[in-house]
Amino acid sequence: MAHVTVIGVPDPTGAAIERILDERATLDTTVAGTGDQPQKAFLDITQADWDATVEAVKDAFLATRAAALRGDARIILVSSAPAVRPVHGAALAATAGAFLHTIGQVAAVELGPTGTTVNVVAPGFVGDARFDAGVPLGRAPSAEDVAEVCAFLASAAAGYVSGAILPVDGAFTVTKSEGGSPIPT
Amino acid sequence: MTRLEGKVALVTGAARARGIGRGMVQALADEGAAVAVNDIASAEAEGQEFVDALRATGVRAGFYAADVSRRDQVDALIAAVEADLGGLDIVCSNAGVADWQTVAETTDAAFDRIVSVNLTGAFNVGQAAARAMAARGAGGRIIFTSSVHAQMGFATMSVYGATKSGIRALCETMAVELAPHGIRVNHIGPGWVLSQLNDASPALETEEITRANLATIPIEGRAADPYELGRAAVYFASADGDYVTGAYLRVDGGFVVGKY
Repeated sequence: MAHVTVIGVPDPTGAAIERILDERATLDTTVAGTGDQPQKAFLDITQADWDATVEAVKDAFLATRAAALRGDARIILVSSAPAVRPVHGAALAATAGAFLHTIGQVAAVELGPTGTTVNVVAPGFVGDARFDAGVPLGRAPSAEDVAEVCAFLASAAAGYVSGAILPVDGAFTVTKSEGGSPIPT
Repeated sequence: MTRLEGKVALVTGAARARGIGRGMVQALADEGAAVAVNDIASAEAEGQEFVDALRATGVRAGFYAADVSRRDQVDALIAAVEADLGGLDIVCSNAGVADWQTVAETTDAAFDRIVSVNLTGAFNVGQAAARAMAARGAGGRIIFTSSVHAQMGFATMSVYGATKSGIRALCETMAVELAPHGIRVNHIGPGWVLSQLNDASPALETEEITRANLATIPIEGRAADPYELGRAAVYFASADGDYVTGAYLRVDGGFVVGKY
């Protein structure tokens, strides 16, 4: 029975990942995210907001370190679309996610010789219909869209995928046509 | 050159003799800017010496001690510089520290130290500067020192590199949001600089190892002179950078070309 650890991924995504990995994972797997960052104008971010972001990032790093020390075969970090492409009102998610991108890539290099793979999933705005118009696939991602990709990365079939940053965003971060942010600031 | 005549600039982490910050201060001053040299209190003697040398050549300059990881100190820093030198036009968020440990070896203390200076420091300085510039209504230039690490990771430097990636994303979001205030936000990516920050790098452990590592740099097989980073800051700070925001300028002698 594989051991699955999921830390810092807000529901419903976190719950979906736990459910699907509990059903299917055959390898010890850690999934770590940076929590739920508040959306607000950069100039209005408070010190408490920032400190909470740093804490969340640290928790994700500590989960990665623990997985490395434990020898988990799969480490999956969860960032977010604004870490790939800037989104007005999402500075905290962007910063926290980009931080994880590098943690994931460096860990992939360092842990490669052990056979552990490390990847990052960058979801769009899960369940947020305000983004529908800006997503080429016409809708925001569901929690299951993200969890299915995590399940693939956790599987034996993904054994040669490491150091990847994989957007699960319906092509949101590669389009410019409806690129504006619907986040009110 | 006088591309920055009448402008007021602040550079954080700028006291150290071999650091990038000094190169930025010197290049900005050479273009006519008044310059505030910031560093932590323990570097005050070194910073004051630098300021004295600048003043001796007719530059309006001052040393300001502040720890960028402390928001109260950063707010006081911005207020003090504006009171002494005038409204800030240019802010270079440059202060940084580094360490060399694998993810598995990284201690909580090392994580906290690197993140608090490099990333929280960038947020503190970036937001305090942006608030001051927005309040004054005269636009401004914010320039972050990121790194080639913002583009590609290096083993044993996960947390350092992650702070630089974080700065990249923060910078891009700030660029999008602050454009209506006339504030341009960009970042500069140094490769090798023989600064105090890198003294503990295993890649520079002996003269022989250093020589071998620097020899891999395409441009002249050498590290950057901090002044070369300063000239990149001048580009972003001057009218030459009027139409540039959210950009990344890698100044690394081609070090990472073909590697990422």
